Amino acid sequence: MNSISQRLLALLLGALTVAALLAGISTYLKARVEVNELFDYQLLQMALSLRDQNSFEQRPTAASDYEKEDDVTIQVWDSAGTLIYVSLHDTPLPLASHAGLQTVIFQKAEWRVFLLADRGRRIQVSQPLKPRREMSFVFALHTILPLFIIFPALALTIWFAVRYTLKPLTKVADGVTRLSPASLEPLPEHNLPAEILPLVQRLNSLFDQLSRAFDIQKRFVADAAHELRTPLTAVKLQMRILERSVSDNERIEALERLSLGVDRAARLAGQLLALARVEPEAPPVPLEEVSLNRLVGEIIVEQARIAADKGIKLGTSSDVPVSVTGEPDALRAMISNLIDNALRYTLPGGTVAVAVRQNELAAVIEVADTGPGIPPDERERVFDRFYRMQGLDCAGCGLGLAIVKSAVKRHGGTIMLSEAAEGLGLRVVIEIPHPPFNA
Amino acid sequence: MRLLLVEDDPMLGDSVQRVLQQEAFAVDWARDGEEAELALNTFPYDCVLLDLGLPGKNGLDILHDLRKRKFPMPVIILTACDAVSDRIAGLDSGADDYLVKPFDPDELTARIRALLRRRDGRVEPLITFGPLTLNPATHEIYCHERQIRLSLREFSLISVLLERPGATVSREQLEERLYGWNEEVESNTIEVHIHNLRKKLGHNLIRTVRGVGYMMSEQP
Repeated sequence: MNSISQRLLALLLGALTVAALLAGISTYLKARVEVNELFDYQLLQMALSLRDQNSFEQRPTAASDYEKEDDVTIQVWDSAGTLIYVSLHDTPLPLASHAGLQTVIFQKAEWRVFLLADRGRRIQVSQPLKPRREMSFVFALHTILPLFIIFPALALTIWFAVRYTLKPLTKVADGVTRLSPASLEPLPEHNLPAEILPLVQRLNSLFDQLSRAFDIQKRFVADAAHELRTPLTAVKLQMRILERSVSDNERIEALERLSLGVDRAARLAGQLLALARVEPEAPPVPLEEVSLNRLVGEIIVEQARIAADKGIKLGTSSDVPVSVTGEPDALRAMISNLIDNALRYTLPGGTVAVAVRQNELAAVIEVADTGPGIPPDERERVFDRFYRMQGLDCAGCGLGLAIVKSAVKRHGGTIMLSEAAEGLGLRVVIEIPHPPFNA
Repeated sequence: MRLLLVEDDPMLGDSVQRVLQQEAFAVDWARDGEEAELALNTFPYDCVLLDLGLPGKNGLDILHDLRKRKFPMPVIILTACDAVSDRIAGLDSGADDYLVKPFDPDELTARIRALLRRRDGRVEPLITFGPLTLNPATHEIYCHERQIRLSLREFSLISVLLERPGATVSREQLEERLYGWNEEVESNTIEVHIHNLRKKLGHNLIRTVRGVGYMMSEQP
């Protein structure tokens, strides 16, 4: 049974039934005690009244009424032990074992017996217990019967009460049913019971976050498609140029440009994936202890070729071992994009210096170049996706710093851009706190 | 035919320029809004190819200004914005056509030709003059039903002369229409081309108007 209203109904009606039965049983037990006392007293009185009667030739008057009504049997024995009187009852009971009140079993039925010894005579008044029980049962029945009569009405009332109480919940459920990922309207919060309000509030805040994430995602996909179209158009045009080329030189040149276009599209795809992995919405990756010295060393080896081709001095200084607990791929993407950017914008003969160090609170990574730098008023915007600075021809795909920023955020760190030296170059300082962000 | 290409992406701009040059167009390439405005103020281009997402001045703003100042040249918007609303905004701002990246190079040149045809008030795609028939789409030229092989420049030159057959076109005008910014023109280049054309098409079709320039003539 998985409906709240059905459960409530079953529980309430069950409890009510049990209560009624308990009331019946307790009434029955109480009534039995009282009926017993009353009837016992009656037996006693009857025996005492017979004691004063000398002759039993006639039927004892005192007993006559009771006899019929309550199956009371009277027996009298004389001092010689002869049964001198038996009331109308045709089943003479055996003489009780001792004087006083007792319960005996006679002909498979329980009897209440009172034996009175008086001047050699023994007077025994007996009565079966059955009528007493019947009487108690009737009392109990009188108590619970009204309850069972109003039972259907009560069930109906409970049914409606439950339905009415659960109505806000049903309304919320209806509201949620109408929602779709495309339209996550907040659910109305007014007039809600205190038990449901927190649920609806939580849902609404979740919907809000979700639709914002959807929007970001949608815009990102649109931007990505927009950005991919440019290199793809170039590739398409270069294929045409290749087709129409008449000399080998032209063909070689066209092929080179074609391959550049493909590289650019491929790099953009790679960067888009890298960004998707470090986005706040991306699923968390198991954290590892990462040595920044080693990571920087590896990346510098990878990029040494590009630096050498461009005539740029690329080096690192890290005297102390520095490590952080983080996501290895995100950290790699972060440092690799920083160095890639620095190499991209630094002119031949320039320098790109990577430093790794430690302060009390954080691991620090610093990349300084001798490129054109970033003017202060653009230092916020360069982190935007697909933002490219004006007037620079060595454009990347505009995602590098967005990836760096997301990766830094993922590790709870900070990033700061400044001039490298006297209005020259760019210095990027990243701090990743110890202990790690989520420890 | 001289076109202005306004495109900020170096790779794409370079490719478009090369494709169009292969199609016998002279192409000037402006990389941002300011450069584009400067170019538009200095030369009456045959057609403008305009990217919308430009640094500095936005493509649509350039278009607005252009039309406000009653510049009549055909404008084709080349952009990655493919939403219907973007197209409508572009066309309503005064563009004559709208191409979404990635576009087919043949489609681009076909649309340029269509716009030039309309500008010149022609209906049929072939240009005919006397014994000559020019096909701008294939760069083929026939003289008395016989196909003549022309270089791209020669084809461009005869196309320019055939735009208004009765009019005289000066050497400077021809240079301007045939060569873009970075193309070097020697002082006698046009004369050489004219000489070659006369050799291939017969001496009487292109007449020299002394001290003024050249004109097409049907008189033998």
